[in-house]
Amino acid sequence: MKTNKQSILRTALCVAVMTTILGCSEKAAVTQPDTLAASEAGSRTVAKPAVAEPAVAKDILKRMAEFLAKTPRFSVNLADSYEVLQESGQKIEFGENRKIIVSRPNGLRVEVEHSDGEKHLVQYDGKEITTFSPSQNVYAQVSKPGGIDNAVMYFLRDLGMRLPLAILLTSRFPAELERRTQALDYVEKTVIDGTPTHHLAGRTETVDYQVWIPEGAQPLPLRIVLTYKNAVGQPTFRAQFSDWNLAPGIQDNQFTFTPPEGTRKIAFLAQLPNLAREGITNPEHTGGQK
Amino acid sequence: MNTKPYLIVTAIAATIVLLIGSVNDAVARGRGGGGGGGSRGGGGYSRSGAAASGSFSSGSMRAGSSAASASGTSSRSQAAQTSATNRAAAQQSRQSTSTENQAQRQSASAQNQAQRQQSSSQNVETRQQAATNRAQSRQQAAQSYQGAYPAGGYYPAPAYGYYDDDNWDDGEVAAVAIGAAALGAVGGYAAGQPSDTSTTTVYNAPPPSGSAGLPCTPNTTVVKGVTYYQCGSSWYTQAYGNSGVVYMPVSAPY
Repeated sequence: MKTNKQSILRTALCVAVMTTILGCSEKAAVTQPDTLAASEAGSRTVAKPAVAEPAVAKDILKRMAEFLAKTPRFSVNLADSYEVLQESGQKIEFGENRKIIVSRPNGLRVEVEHSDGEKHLVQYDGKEITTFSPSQNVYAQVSKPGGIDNAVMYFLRDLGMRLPLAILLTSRFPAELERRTQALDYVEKTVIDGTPTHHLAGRTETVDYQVWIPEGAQPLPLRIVLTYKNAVGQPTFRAQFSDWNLAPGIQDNQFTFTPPEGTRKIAFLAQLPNLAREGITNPEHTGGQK
Repeated sequence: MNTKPYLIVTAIAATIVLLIGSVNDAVARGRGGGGGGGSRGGGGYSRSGAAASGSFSSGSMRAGSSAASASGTSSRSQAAQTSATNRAAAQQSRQSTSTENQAQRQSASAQNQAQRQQSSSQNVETRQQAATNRAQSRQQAAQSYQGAYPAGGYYPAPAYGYYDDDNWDDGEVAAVAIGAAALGAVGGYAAGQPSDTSTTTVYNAPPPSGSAGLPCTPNTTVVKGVTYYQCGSSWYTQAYGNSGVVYMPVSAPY
């Protein structure tokens, strides 16, 4: 009986040891290729050994931002949508199409068509920023020499105007992105419209962002999703880029605003405090009394 | 002697039935009101919010806080007040024709008051809650960042010097700044985003054909190249905000 028990115990031990060894070797076999693949191609975030992975994501992001910032001129179409949480608690999505033309350092043109059909135009020619609404026959214009970076910052920060993803149009985009990003991860390699793409996910203090950057020589973003995590309802902004063109045909008059006949100049909200004192200087195109 | 208890029981039963009836009425009206609120389509929806900015940073922009929602909110609260008044009037007329006891009237009027208080404090609560949520999530984000920082791959904290330009693409910061500036200069209006204490309405600009966005058919005057619109003693002018062209109340140009 004793020998029987001992042999059973021995067999059990052997089986247990064998199983453990087999299990370990299987695990190693599974993890190793993944780790290699991750570190070599930056294709997936897995397991602990992928220490180099975030650096890869960081490099991909930096390369995209620097490529864009150093591109002297480009045009791109942008279809974006954003959610607005209504007071009822319901989230409603609005959309718009933008055609953007950039010619550094002084030329910027953004044609916008909102989902309700309203059209707007924003132009900068190195001297003046103009926003124009043809359906209302009004425009506002302010002098701001100094290039696109200055103009865009002034337009958003000081005039309080809206220009989604404006940060991408400035040459400080790489620095701004690095400064704001607190965490960055490689999500996956995926395919958008047949193009192999890196999907990255970053976090700033107030916005979580995702960006899809194609592999290859032109790492220009194909898609961006922004989540406003601190805003009530955590609404998102989604943008899809198309028709990147790094050699667009550019005419001088694309960036300079020439008011159509009968167009009236109005102020930016930010100018209202000084409006009564200074008025709007626009002798040629100011409309008379209705 | 026997009839009196019977009468009392009948009176109590009738009171209960009437009370239940009035509660049901209130519920039905409440639902009706809700339906009405929900049906305000065709431009009743706010188009402005944190996500509309499409920026890589965000301030504390409230949900639906825009010029459009400013007027929407004001008209909704007016409607709520009107319906509350109607409810009170209806209740009173029922009471006057009723021969029921005072307890019911007290109960009904207390109910009205409670409803009014509830509806008036609802907005405040929502705002407070939203502010608290934002503060909490900011704290959480900061904590989680501190906690997660040692992990590999996380960026170091920003070490740049130009904090003045932090979040310059955030429409909220600019709008608040404009609001503050405008308040000082013109007095009594909010720019784009009404503050919690502001009751001023910003009018959306109408289609080019007319002045439908203003509360009247205005007199139009041009002073120093600026077109002003006058409605009674109020003056307005058009201006570009981040949600488009709006009419803003301004001080008289002369």
